[in-house]
Amino acid sequence: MATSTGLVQQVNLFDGGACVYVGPAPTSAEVLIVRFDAVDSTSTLGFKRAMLGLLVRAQVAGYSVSLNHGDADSVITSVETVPANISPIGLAIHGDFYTVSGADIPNDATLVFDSAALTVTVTPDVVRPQFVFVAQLPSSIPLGRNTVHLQGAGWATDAVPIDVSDGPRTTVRTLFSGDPKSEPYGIDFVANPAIARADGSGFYADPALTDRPGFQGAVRFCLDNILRSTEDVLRQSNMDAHVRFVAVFDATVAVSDSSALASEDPPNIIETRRDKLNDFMGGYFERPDVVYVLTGSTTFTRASAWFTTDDANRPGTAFTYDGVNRTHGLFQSTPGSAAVPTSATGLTAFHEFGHAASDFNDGMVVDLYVDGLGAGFVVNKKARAKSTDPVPANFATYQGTTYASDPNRDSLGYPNTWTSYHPQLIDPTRPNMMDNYWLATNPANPRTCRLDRLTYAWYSDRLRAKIFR
Amino acid sequence: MEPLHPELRRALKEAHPGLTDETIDRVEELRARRFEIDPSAHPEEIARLDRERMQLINQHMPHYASVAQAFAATIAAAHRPPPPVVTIKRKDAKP
Repeated sequence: MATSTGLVQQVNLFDGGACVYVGPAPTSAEVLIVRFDAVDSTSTLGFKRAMLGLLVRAQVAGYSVSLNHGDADSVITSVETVPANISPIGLAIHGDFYTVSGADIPNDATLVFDSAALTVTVTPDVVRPQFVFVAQLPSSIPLGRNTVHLQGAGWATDAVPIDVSDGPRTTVRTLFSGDPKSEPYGIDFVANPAIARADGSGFYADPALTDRPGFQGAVRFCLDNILRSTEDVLRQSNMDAHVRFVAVFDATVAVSDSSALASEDPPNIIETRRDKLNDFMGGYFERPDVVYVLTGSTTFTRASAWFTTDDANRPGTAFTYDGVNRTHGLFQSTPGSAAVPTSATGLTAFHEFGHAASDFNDGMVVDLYVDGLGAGFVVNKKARAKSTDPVPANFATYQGTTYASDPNRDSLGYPNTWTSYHPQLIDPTRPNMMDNYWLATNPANPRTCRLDRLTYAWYSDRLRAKIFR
Repeated sequence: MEPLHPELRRALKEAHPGLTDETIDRVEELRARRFEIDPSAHPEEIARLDRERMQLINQHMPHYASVAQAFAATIAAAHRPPPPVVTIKRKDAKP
């Protein structure tokens, strides 16, 4: 048996079959045939029609095929598509998000768009080993047929054909699909349609829906924050390769109670309306574990988050904390959520994720920049009886391992009136990412802040349980 | 909740002579505490914390909103992300 490989240059139908031209160019193509014989059974005819259908689709899309045929004849006996080692996710639309997935993508990877006239190279906004992400596809990429490939120093992928258009930009954009299962762990970004007034007098339109570039820039900021800051709790062992990321920007949504996903909290805090999120996202067939509600408000500019409420009626993974049996619920009944202004900076998106991905009932990860402790089970903060009591050497026992306290709140110091104290930091030279990351020095970069050792271990187990559910 | 930026703390104290770190910290603590309470389970507790917080703000930081807005605008302007790096090469261009 012989094999011919290349692009499908032409398909000519005739009575009883089709001629298929395969090769690198129309002028250097082999001619093979699909032949429908009178003696073919129904199933054989069906197979041949399927082959022909695949060849026509490959011609239109510009994908390579391998055709098997006899050594001494040109009758096609089977067709295989030639797999590429990258995959564009969704349509290539000027000004829209654009993601290309792959494997072992190096940090210096760039996107290369080739058309008949131009080669356009784009530096991605976010690079991970499994994808590159661009917040806005540049309009300098020619419309129509291009090929796209990734390249870095001494490294390049296959080139795949794409058709570039100038719109319309998508309402629901899958940025990365995550694990191929019915309920992959999901993190969604939604442009908030409306804001609820704090005094209960109604709702008004969120400027986020009139600033699509601002929204897309904020998604870029959030993705970069949670996946490429120094803290690696979400990306360790490439866990994020199993996470689904989706962006929703629906300019057609009217202002209403059900579309107001954020609420004022005067004088300047914006908070999510967590009880609205499952219904709203369900309208787009999404049920994320954590929702970023991105707001364009210029009045309410301080981000906040609500913890997840795990679904106690679905499976969970058991753990012990200070000898008490608890559970990481694998699914949410109310998603974790963060209201984040499109103007956010610093480590804000990741800090809010640190709250949102924890749970109201089986482990809250709270702010460390204030004293005091409320009711409920808190993972990362405890309190002494008096501020003059010494900080205990050991903070807690999690899964049989004892974790030390941070006796000094390292780079910041506990105010002498505080009773609360924290677990030992991973990096004692800078604040905990759940503390006041704006106070980071040497370098003065909040994105270098990390978690404490206990919360890192707890979150690693929790995220692993949920992501691999 | 996003921590209070030290520059915003400084601006609040400038705008409100006599304002102490203790008062700011108390407001911050009340704010952080509200987000540790399930709003569907204990809305009355959140309302109580909010009343206490707003009372402190109205009494000691009446210009909080305008100071915070001005600060946020400054920060946003200073942190605009750079435009994407794009290089374009014509196929018929000479090297």
